[in-house]
Amino acid sequence: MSRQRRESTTPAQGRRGSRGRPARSVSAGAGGARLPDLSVRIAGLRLSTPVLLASGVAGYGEEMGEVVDLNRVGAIVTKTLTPEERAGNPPPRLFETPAGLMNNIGLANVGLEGFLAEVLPQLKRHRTRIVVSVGGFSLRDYEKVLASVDAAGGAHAFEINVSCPNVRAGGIHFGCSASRAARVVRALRPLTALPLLVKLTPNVTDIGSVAAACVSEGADGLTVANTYTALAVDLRTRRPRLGGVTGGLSGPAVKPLSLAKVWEVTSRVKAPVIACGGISTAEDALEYIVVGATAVQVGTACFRSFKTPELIVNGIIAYMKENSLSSLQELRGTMTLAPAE
Amino acid sequence: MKPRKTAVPQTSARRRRRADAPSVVAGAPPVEAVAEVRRNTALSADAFLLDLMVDMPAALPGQFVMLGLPDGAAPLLRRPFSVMGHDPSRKSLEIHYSARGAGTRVLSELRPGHKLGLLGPLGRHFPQAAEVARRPADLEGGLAPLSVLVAGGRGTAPLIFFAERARRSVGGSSGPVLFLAGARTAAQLVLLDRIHATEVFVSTDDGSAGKKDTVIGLLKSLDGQPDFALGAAGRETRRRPGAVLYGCGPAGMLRELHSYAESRGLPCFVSLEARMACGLGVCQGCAVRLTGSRYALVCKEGPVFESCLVDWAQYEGA
Ligand SMILES: Cc1cc2nc3c(=O)[nH]c(=O)nc-3n(C[C@H](O)[C@H](O)[C@H](O)COP(=O)(O)OP(=O)(O)OC[C@H]3O[C@@H](n4cnc5c(N)ncnc54)[C@H](O)[C@@H]3O)c2cc1C
Ligand SMILES: Cc1cc2nc3c(=O)[nH]c(=O)nc-3n(C[C@H](O)[C@H](O)[C@H](O)COP(=O)(O)O)c2cc1C
Ligand code: FES
Repeated sequence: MSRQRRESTTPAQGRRGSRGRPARSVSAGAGGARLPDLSVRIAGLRLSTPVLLASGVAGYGEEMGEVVDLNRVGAIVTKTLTPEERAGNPPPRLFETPAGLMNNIGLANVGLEGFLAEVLPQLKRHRTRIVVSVGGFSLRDYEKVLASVDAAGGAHAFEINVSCPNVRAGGIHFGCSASRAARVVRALRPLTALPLLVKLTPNVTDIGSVAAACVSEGADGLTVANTYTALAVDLRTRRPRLGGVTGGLSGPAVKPLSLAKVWEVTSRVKAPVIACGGISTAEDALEYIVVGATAVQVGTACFRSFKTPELIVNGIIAYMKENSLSSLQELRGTMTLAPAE
Repeated sequence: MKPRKTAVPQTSARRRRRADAPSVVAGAPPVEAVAEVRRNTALSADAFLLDLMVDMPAALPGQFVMLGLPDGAAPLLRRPFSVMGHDPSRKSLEIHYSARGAGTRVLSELRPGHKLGLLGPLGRHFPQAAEVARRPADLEGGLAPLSVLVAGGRGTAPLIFFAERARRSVGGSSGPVLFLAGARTAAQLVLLDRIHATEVFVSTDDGSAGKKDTVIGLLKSLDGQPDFALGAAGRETRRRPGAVLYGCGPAGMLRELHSYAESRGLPCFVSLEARMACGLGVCQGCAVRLTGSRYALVCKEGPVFESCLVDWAQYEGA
């Protein structure tokens, strides 16, 4: 249904875009009278820029202060938090593939107690928005983490991680079926008034139906997507490259895959989508927005440079000026399916 | 074959100039900066010396930097490299690397003027021997412990930095430094002329230079003349407060070094490797197993660890 809707309700597309007059590409130094409005709103969550730091690549923000201007990012999504502290999986935990990174961290995190006592007070001192990623191995786990963090105050939104491929139970188990994902959202929705995002796994046949189930239970938005289950083998030793055998693939290699997932989800639900997967340039981010995303998260590309999110923000501003866009709203979901003439 | 001994002369002029160098503040927070290649010199078929121009807070021996390739070039992730020399006033940073995989091969093709992304300085540095003296009573005579540096292959680089700093320490307060450098064959001993220590000893697996032995074999052969547990160096007869061992090199070598330190009751610090992504302690990717089934992050809690903390049965290097 919404594929249709999108095609017929794309005013920006009619004015510019692929029909006849291609949008100018991103470059720095574009002139423009008005400063484009970069802010986006996801339910009650107002972000000053549409570029967020993805869960797991920024820790809890504290080590980042020296190298990232946290005020240039819309929000930090914290490392997924579980009730108990977790040491993580046996090394090696990382393996690089062409244009990609496989990780098998195993949700190593400080645990709820440590988070409330040590991390949250520090996080509250940042001006940037804090999205707390909630994880667990049972419904009880998710409830406990979310309710405790909500009660402590300081978070601006929650992202429910039902999509971690690197733990045996829980995590992805909940994200792999629409009904289980719905159960998680149903349990958590009453526990907080803050915006509730659900981070989906791409390792499913029909991500659209999982998204729809979450939204119908009251999720305010969806993060699309987590990593892709992947395996690498050392031919010399005939052992897996990662200590935990399989890992989650991220980085530029997954961008076309996640772009398709975002398309599936934005075609299916109206709730805002935060795109995540292989974003390392402003072009990447803008492509996701054209496909319907409201905001984007940057993960692996931070490891190449922690300035990446800032450069993406600059690139988006330049693109908006060059194309006389006053807000990203004008660009969102403007991909046209009509062939260029 | 007798170990080759090279007492490196330390000219007083050079010493004086070095002593004026600003004192180094420990643990300066890292920066992300652009590093420009000044020189990228091949020392052998696969060993290179990279001289970078970069504005970075002072690094300490044992610390490392993450180097990223120019925009768009593969591989994706930055790679960790130990600092071999750093002079913040000249913005000069030296890295020694061996071309072994995709990333280091691309590095080896860089020419002067090329730019790299850099994050650093990172990680924990090697403590000075005087800071780890186990028997403070022995320090009464004002004598600093002996530092015994054991380097295997490209592990030489951070220890060169350590020896250099010890030499420049105020009034030689660091005590004598013995430098043991091991390699498979003479052609791989590419940094010998850069080692400045009280005494330098060499071993090669094939005997083409120095003692025909592993560097651990070399270490064992040297202990007793003087006794490392007593810690006098060279012709010294006075007792020092023992020796402190420092190691950097392949996993197997470090494991043996640790066993030896245990058997002799000597404190020992080693620099470990793990594959890294962030370098900052945020991604949890570079974990190594410590004793007591605990993990530590090499980039943040290391790369320098006291060897007795490491679960050596689990450590395989990067
Ligand atoms: C703290 C630290 C200091 C180091 N200092 C030096 C140094 O001074 N000189 C030097 O030559 N090398 C050093 N290394 C090792 C160096 O980082 C690797 O050789 C380099 O990353 C290999 O990259 P590559 O793309 O050429 O190889 P790849 O093709 O990626 O792999 C070749 C080999 O390098 C290992 N490796 C790959 N990526 C990493 C990584 N991110 N971290 C560690 N090992 C990796 C792989 O396991 C493999 O065995 C250091 C490593 C660490 C952790
Ligand atoms: C090292 C590492 C750790 C991660 N940890 C988490 C995590 O704790 N929770 C989570 O929801 N996603 C985690 N992710 C997934 C990222 O948030 C992101 O969804 C994924 O990497 C795809 O985006 P990218 O291609 O920009 O990296 C992790 C990714 C990496 C590389
Ligand atoms: S490399 Fe990321 S935590 Fe060490």
